[in-house]
Amino acid sequence: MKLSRILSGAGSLLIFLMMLPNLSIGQHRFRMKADFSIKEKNQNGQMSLTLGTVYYDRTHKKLVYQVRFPEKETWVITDTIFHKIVNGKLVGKQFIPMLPSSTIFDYALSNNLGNFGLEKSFYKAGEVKKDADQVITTWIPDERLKKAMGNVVISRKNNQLYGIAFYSPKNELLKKQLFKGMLKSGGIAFPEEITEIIYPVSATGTQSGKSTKISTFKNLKVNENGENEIYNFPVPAK
Amino acid sequence: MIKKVLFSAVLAVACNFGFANTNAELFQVDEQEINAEFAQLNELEQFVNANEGVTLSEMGTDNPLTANVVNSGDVLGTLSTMGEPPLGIPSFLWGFCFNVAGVALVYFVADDRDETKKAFIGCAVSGGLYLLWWVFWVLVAGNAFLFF
Repeated sequence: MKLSRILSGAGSLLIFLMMLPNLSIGQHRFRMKADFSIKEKNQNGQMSLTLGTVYYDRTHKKLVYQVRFPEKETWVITDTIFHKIVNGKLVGKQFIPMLPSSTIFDYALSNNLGNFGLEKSFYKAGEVKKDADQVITTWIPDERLKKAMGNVVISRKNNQLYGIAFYSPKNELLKKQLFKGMLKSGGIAFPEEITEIIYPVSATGTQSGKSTKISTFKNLKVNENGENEIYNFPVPAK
Repeated sequence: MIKKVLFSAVLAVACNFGFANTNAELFQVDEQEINAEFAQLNELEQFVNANEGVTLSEMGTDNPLTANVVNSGDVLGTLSTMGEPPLGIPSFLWGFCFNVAGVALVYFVADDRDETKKAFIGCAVSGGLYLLWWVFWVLVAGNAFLFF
């Protein structure tokens, strides 16, 4: 009798332990918003500042920027189309080679930020090295894409994304990003500050100068109720 | 023998220096230099946060905080930090350029029905264009060639 009770208890515990991973996966994170600031200084000395709030919803696959500076406007990215809306009117529409599902917002919500979403891309992990307190992985593009894409190098510190560097197919450093601080909300971690240094390539193929950009985020909210009209911002016809 | 050992040692040290330049050092930046470069923009950000609703056009060009500050309109550049364009290649192009292999890659990697559909459309368009090209060159141009 006692033995059967012990076996029954052990069985229940085993079932509970086996269900734990499923329970954690079941916490579906589908939307997030954060206040952002993007400061840029290019190689010619020109500067820009963009402030606002970004909304991302994985269900609607929409990335919405409510910009309040330099001017009040709304940017909506759906698929690879960028829409600019001012005072409720669509004033601009252009192709943008960016899918909302290939952004840091989606990577953060799907817990793929650690490797910048590369695990689920056309890149494969190559050499892994430990240097000082960084673990550095070189990601190599699919063989068929090597003429168009270069390697991506990712650095992780304390098991978190620390830096990422993008190379051209000729192995020239195109840009690097450094991630500082992590905002935590709703079970996800999101970078507080991203410093990006871009090394522009001229039409003649030579690299000179650099542009620097600092993006900061605060007031991160995950799976927030309400504001559906912004998360699923309806793009006006004109 | 000694020369060989010395040469190997020098080579090993040189290789280590080479690795140092492309590894941890790659992710080091001069924070003081960056802070100095962004002092004006930091001040401008503080001003905008303190004066809710103010815009660049309202501040005017004679304001020292807006010297060299532009509304570039380069959205792609501004948002480049948020997502990497090469990784966000439209599914249509995967299908168009890599045909069935591109559709398969999108199907297995993106695991998204809509994206796979776009890749399939790209593949179909590419196949249609190839068929037209073949019809033109083999049936039209080829037959014309027979008359000569």
